Amino acid sequence: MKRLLTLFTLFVSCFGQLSMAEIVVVANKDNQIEMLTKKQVIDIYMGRTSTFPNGEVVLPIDQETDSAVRKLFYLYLVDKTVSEINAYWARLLFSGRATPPRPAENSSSVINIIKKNKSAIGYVNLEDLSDDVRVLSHVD
Amino acid sequence: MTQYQKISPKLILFCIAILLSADLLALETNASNFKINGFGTVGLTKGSDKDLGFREMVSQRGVFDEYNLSQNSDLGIQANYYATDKLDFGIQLLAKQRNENSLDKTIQWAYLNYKISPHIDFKLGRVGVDTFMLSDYRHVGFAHLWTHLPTEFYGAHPVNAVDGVDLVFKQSIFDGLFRAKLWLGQANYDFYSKDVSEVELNQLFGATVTWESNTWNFRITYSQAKANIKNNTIEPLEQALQQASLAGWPDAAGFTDLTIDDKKIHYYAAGVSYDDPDWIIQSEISTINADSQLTSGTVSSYLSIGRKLGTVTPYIVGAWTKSRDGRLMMPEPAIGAYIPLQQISQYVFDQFYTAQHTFSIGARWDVQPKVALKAQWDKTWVDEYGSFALDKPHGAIAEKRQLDTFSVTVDFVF
Repeated sequence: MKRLLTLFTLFVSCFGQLSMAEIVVVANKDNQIEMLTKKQVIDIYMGRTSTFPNGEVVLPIDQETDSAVRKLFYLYLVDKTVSEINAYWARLLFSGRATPPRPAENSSSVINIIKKNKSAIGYVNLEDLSDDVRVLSHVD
Repeated sequence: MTQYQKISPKLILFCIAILLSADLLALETNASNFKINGFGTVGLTKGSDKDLGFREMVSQRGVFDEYNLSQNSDLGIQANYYATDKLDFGIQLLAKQRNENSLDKTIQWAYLNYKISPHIDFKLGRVGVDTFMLSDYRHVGFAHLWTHLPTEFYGAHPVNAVDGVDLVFKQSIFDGLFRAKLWLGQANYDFYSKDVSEVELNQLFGATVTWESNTWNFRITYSQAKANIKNNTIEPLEQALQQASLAGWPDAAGFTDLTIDDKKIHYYAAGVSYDDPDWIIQSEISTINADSQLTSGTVSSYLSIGRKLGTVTPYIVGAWTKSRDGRLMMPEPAIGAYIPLQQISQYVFDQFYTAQHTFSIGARWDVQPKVALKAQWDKTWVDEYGSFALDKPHGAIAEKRQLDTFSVTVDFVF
């Protein structure tokens, strides 16, 4: 119930209306992967794998730590708050187990990085999507 | 006796220098494959007893009936360099109050990591070991719920790294990650008890298997080592008892293998945690078996239950530890002249006896996404002589004691 309320507040504050926020996971246009399942996106963004399902190295790009899109992304993906995600990564990073996704400043820099790097994937709000990248997954 | 020192200013300067030079390097090369991160805690602890000092680990000096700002405060800096997709380097430095502050003690890890395959990692150098669930990030306050780790469970084994190698196999299975890790190496730490003894763990080998999903974490661990304790009291005592056994006190012959030299220790541990949007529950149990006359080892456990209420998580913790055998007793000598020797022996035996439990209540408040404020109150019941985990400058206490420890911390990551 608490999470539903948080989501509701986020919708209202971020979009000013009660539309269903949609986040898309995007990759370089030359990336061979057709699509990713939610589980595969979780594995990549929670540091459980360092490769795409075809074995190619993956470079996950994160949004800015306090951004609204990051807050929603992890809530949709694993039902965790930003503080919980930060504590999770503190555990993995400072024990030398895994490296957190590299943060970008905003959605346009996420798309810029992905345009230049075949291995990179990122996530943006649907309305920030551009033709420069390809959608691999919808998170909602 | 080693002089107990505060965090060395030189060390802090060194850490800042590393941080600055790393920043400059990152600026100059715009190197996205070089990363600097850090964590820290500012912690205030108030103890309640003048004879028994609260501490998280046996390597620390205790907090007696006083306010203490240094014991639970630390600052860590970590640098990672990703040379290629397969090879990376990591180093972590931790400034903290220690018995003796040296660069060797400050370096938490320094390793090269080679990805043999997407599923297998090999590390060489000073590498983290997770004998227990929180061992290898025990100093990262932001990553756990409490102001300090349960002393009863984590106090007796301060080791969080070995100089050696580790091999990790990981595979995504069902909705989580299966991970098996092997490590081999050597470690040492200080055992602070009136004077400081250095504990050396050689041929330290361990294996842990975990499965972790977004909600659940299960783990089992086995580890073993050969322990050596360099102590100025035990060896002369052993010799004195040997001589006494030949000169009128035959019972003393049963206590002539006290020195801890290459004595084998076995660790068995299991843990589980549950973490959903409303609850965070965690429990671990361990038994440490030692092939030593002074101590046959301990059994320890804890259970922590937290309820998430927005950004605030109130929690309770119950933790206990007990020596596997009862208190080791030195028999009465027939000759009065040996009574002082008997008393010294008993004093030493009692240093190794543990029987205590703690109930804690506290709360964590996530003030900001990278800053947490915590407060915790611990009520500890110590049995007669059972204060192994605590700091006891006057030796173990003959009667039962209760301790109240209050602690607040600000934990952050950057």
